[in-house]
Amino acid sequence: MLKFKSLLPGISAASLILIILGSALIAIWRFALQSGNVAIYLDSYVLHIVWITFYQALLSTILSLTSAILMAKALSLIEFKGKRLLIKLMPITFILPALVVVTGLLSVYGQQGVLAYLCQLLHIPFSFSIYGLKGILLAHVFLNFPYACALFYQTLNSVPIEQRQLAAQLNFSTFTFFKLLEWPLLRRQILPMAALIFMLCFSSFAIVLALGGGPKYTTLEVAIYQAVRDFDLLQAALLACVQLLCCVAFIGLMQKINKTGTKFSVTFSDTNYRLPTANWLKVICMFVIIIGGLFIFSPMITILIQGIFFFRTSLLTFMLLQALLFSIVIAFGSAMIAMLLGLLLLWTNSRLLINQQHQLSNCLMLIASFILAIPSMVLASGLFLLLFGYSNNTVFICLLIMLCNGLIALPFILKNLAMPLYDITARYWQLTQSLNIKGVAHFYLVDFKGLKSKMLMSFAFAAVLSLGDFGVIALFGGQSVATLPYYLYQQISHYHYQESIVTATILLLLSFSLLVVMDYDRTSKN
Amino acid sequence: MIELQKIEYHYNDFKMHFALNIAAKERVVIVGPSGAGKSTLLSLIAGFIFPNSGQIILNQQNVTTTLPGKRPVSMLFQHNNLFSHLTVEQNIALGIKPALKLSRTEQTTIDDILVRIGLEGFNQRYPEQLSGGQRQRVALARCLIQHRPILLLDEPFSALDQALRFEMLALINQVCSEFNLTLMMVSHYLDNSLNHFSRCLVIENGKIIFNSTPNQLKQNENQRIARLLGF
Repeated sequence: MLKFKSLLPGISAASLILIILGSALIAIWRFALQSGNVAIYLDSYVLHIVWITFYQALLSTILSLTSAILMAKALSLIEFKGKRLLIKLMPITFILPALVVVTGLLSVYGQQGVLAYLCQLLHIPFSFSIYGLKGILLAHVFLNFPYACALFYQTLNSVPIEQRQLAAQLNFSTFTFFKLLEWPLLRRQILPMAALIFMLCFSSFAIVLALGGGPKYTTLEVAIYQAVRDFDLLQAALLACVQLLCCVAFIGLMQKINKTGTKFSVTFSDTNYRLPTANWLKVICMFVIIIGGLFIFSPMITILIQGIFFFRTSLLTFMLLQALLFSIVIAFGSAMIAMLLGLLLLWTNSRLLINQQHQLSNCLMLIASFILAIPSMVLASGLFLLLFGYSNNTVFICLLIMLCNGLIALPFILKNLAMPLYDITARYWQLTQSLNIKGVAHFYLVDFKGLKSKMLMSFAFAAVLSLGDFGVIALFGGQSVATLPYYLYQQISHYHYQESIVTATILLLLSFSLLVVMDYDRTSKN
Repeated sequence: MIELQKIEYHYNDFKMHFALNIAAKERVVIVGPSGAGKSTLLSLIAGFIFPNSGQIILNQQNVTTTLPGKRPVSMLFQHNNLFSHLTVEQNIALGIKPALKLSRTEQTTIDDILVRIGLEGFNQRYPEQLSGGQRQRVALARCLIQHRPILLLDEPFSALDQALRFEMLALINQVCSEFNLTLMMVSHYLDNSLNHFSRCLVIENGKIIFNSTPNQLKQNENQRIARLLGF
């Protein structure tokens, strides 16, 4: 028997979300129409932006996937010390703050970077410029390829040991083994992974803004941001619509092909069997792994080393400390909001599923897709326009940023927690009913106690996302509120190299410490 | 006392019909082929599902539409009787109230009940540190601490080995006498364990086709039923 009481949390959270999203969208259109500028905006410039957005996303996806497969295969062929650690640490780049990535890449490939320095030592002319398409691709590959690689490696490893032994008996070459046993497994993952990476690159903002180097390489998100900043609202609204359409199309596509799911957890079996590998192949593998490892870790290590090296107490300005404080407060606030909304939605969702109301549950979960479909820049600019009058009120701006970041993190929380929460609720459903455990007691005793580590992980994940966010804050930031990424962006755009490294180090360390919390497995205690 | 008046329950196309009258302190065993509706009968009494028509009277109260937590019934399932993330003590405490803070007297009650089921000092263990039989004992302890006059058992000992199963049945018998419980238990064993019960129900195709003492099953006129059960 489904009671209204169990519907209430989900419905109220859903309506709140829909009201916010709706008013943001309406605000954009209202302002656009009021601005009275009716010039036709669907000109070659917009088409150019759409093309560039699409083009860079496509290239990034192809490059990321190719290098991921190459590296994963290399990793699966040889064994060496520190491999586990390498594979465990690799996917971290996936959720690093975009601007930290930019700073890291600048510190390696920039004009004052490590590479330039090495070239100078060896008297080789260094002419590589990181700005433009090259930089965008570099950053996108850096963000996405390690994650894909770790996932692919796991898949390659999932070929059953009996089949490996059989392959050895049948004298398969490395190539035949890949073609007949590994490729069929890998193939199922490539399409969903490609869709995910494409989507992320398509709506990439901070990286393109920082590394795009001018209007030649601008994506939709950046164009929306610039249009809002220039008060060209009709243009912004139009671009927002184009972006919205693209995202909806991709999400539709993704849901079609994402049936297999991209669940990710590295499991190592102690009993493993490896096909004999030729020596020359081992050398190539080692080479690939060293290049890949350097590519992944050199930016992070350079930031950390240079950050310590450049650090002076004089750099700890009032502005920086204030930004640090704002960042922490906003990150935790957003994570709280995301958790609260997520748990309210999932509370009702679990009960709907238990009562066989699959259709209603799907409707409820559609909210998450709505949020994914509405680009963060559209959401932020809508709210910005709607509440422009309050843009000098610090507390208000903070709350607004928390809300935006919370909403952006919500789909991830729903994805992480929906199944576990349903499972645990369903598993103990009859038991909790007969013990008359419900409401808050149910949440505390069953959901929270049972899924503490998962919830903590989702919370930390949401906090990391919000901590590194430079999208919403780019619009709202300014005199009254500045977060670390905002501060960092100002330093990067003013070419204050040393200061930016120090800021990036702080941001990186903050994210790392949250990630440690995330990875810390408390369940092993029991 | 359990009284089912013309209960109809439809599960897709499968129509079940139950009518039943069980006096207080009776011990009833329910047998029958799998899928016949044995567990459904218990679920109806416990309130996990609701009948399409008819009335359920438990201890003179009409509970037809009452939620499970409000019925004078406690139940033991085959699996998942314990919350695996809570300790033995916490699991039992949930039978007293849905919170983990315990008063001194409640603490003593739990200690006492642990002694009675032979698990003294197991308070801080987690379910996965217990054997299958021990887990069911803990779950039974929680049922007892709820002080509900009707105890429903849905094949709770089927996963245990023979010796342990008889041991648990003896324990159940003992606590039923001690706490004056009315017992209904689904089983698929037709051995000596039937002698522990004062009454036997045989269910086939959603209907009660036999309702008498276990000994009656061996009578000639009940040959068809005995054969159905595989005697």
